[in-house]
Amino acid sequence: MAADVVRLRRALGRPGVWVAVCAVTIVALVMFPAAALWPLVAAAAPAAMFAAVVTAYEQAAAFRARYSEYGEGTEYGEGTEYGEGTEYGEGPARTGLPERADGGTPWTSEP
Amino acid sequence: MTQPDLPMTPPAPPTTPEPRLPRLTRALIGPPGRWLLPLSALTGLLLLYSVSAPGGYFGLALLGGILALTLAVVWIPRFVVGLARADGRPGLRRHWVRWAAVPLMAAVVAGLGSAGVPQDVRFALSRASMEQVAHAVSTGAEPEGGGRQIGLFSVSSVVRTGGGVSFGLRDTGFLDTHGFAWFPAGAPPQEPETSYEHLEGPWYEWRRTW
Repeated sequence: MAADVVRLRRALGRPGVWVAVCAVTIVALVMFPAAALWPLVAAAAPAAMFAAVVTAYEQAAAFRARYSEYGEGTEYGEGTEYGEGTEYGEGPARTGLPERADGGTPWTSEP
Repeated sequence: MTQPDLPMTPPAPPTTPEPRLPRLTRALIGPPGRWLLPLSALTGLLLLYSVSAPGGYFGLALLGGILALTLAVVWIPRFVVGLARADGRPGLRRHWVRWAAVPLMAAVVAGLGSAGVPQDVRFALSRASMEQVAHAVSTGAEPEGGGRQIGLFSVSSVVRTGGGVSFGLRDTGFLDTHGFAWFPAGAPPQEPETSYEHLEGPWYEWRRTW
């Protein structure tokens, strides 16, 4: 029982679970367009999406706290879908990587 | 005094890969990108097309509505949570163009759709072709049976009616039928089940109730 609770809490901490709930509610909205269901389902879909986004931010915050040596706001934080920040060479050099003896750009940074 | 030699070869890359957040998490906390923006544009075009004929295209409008609802459900929570959280606001500021693109597209689509611009543009581009057919039919040519393309419209029927020519449009409306009518001599005749709305010149839009 306690293990199930832990498993459930772990599952609810994953954004993917909430996104799946959101997707299922939208599909239900289309498949079963009964008037009585609409308000319930129409409220459930955005609520699940809100939960997914909040969970994702929490996950990102925990990640930042855990891997702070990799630098903040680079490739796992804000605006990463197109790889802005340092992932594709823009922005400041990544920290946590070996630096040249003269203090220049890390050897492994992309051009 | 000599300068210490700089290392000539780069050190070996770290053996463990750099940890990264799951792709879904990065997408949820990031700005709209490679899926949301093109899908929004596609939905906008679909909705504009669905209202580009009298009565609209019901199936396409329904599909566009469902897509628009889904986009709203995805965009609004991401924006609101990003705005509410201190660690989300820098991302909103940095990528404000991408965040603004979706509501801007929605506003443009709503504005153009409610002003009837898609239908006006499509009709204007098809008017010459339709007028040519209308002249031919009114001067005695037998209207071709079956569906055909006239201008940008898919026409299901062309019939001579009360001193004019009527064009029925395929797949428009839900239960009613819709189309255009050409009456060069003046107003169309009064018919019990058909209503006319004047467009411009000799052209009218008609609706036949089911």
